[in-house]
Amino acid sequence: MGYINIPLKEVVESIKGGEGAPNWYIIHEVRLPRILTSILIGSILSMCGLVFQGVLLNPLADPYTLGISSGASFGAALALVLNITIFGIFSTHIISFIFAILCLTVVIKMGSFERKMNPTSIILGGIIIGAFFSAGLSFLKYLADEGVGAIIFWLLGSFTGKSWMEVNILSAIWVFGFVFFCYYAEDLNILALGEKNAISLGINPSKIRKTLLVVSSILSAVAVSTCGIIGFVGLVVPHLLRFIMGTDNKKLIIGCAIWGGIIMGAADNIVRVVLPNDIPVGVITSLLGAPFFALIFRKKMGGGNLR
Amino acid sequence: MIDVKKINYSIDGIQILKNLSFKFKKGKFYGILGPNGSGKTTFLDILSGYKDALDSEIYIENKELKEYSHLKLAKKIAIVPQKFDIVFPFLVSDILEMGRYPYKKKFFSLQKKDYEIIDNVIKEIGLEEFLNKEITALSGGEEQRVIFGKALIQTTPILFLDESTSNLDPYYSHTLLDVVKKRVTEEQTTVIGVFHDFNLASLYCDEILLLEKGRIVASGKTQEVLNSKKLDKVFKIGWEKYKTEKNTFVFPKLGGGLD
Repeated sequence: MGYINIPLKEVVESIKGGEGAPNWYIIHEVRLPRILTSILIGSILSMCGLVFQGVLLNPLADPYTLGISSGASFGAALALVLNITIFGIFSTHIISFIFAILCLTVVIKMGSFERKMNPTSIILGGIIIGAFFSAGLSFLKYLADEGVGAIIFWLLGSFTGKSWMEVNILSAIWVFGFVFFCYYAEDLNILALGEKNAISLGINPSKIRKTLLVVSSILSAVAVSTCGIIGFVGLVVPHLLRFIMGTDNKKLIIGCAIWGGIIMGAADNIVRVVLPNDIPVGVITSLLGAPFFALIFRKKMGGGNLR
Repeated sequence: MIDVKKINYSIDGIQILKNLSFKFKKGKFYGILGPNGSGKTTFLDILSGYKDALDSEIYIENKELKEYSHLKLAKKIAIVPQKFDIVFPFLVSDILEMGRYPYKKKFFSLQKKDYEIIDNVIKEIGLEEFLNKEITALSGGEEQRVIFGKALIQTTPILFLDESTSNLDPYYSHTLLDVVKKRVTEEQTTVIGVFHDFNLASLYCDEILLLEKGRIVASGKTQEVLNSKKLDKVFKIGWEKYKTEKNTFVFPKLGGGLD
């Protein structure tokens, strides 16, 4: 499935046949890494979205709430505009990752007072940092002149041209994140009872918030710096699953890991197969995701509860 | 049980609690009375580890409070807070099960014994009809009953109630306080409760602490404190007092007073 039409029989043969088979290169080196990348990214973003919502006790939070997307975008744009290549072909990715982590550090510093962490100040910090780097990004676009196309394409998020290298990095990060989040899923449930109830049940909310925010931000930063900004998945998938599976984060984290991957993989397939040009998948997730989410949301709002 | 040698606590240079000290004995029901802003909730917050008072010396079961980890403390003290805000629609049964969190190992499910404790509390305070409901769909009073249940399920030797019956109708106020009183007499639980309804305090508390501007101005047997002149002074209104054989009930002399 894709721009070049390869029948299913040949696909099976080429996977079985190894390197010599026809179209081996296209399937093994182009399509497979791309499919796997999209699944991993979807899964990572959905898990991170769930964690952000739980930690910040805010149903509107998503992996980009701390402003790491703006930081990552700014970093990538900077690398593209200044043509920085000190890290070889991955320069753009690495610099965008560095800026994402920079954002995270500043936001966490801004949101913590006397070793305690306040969700509201974290969110505000994210907005401030986000605004700052968005302005910086606009400035870079203005400076880039003709190079603006490359920046915009990067920002839109796409799985085109991903290699096994990305798949390996993302898999490693995914395994770590999944195990880590499963371990803390129960604490995430308890955080939802409010600060006093949580402390009285024996957890340290500030410490757990910080640990979870740092880990999920690093995961999202890796995701953003490999594939650009793919919006909406991290916000919508946790909500959709909450409608279906209930509120228990122990179940939801597994659900997000699975369904985030399936949904993202499907979205990328639509991009590849149905649409004539390779439109950036970030556009599709938001274009299709928003109305779909609105529909379900209206239906569910009958109960009057914002989930 | 709880030996408060001293607590000094201030926020932004304003001293909320001044040199407070008191010895709480095992198996008694203590009531804390005091006007708004007298430091009642702050006092419980410090004892429960929610706020750190740097200049303090508190011993819980002969061990200093600062030496307890959160998890260890959770097996000693349960609290029913005055305010809480639950954003996500957890099922009531999920929330009750969270009461066993301090005893549970990660990645393991609850034991048979845990479920027995949960079922007992559900029966005791009548939560059967809510089990499969979402907490966000309940009324304020119903929500408070669930959180009350969660604290009882924690089965701790110490229980803090911060105006825990403020949203409850008389039937459930008395049902819940009866259950608490039973724990005090049968299981030697130590209870400290903040009250605004003096007559509830009169019915259930063994001893009362009267707080004013961060100090304990009177403490002792419930009936003695309620009968003392201090009550008029601290609350700036006169009180009509009615004594029965066991209890003293008080009513404010406001406006025309009582006929």
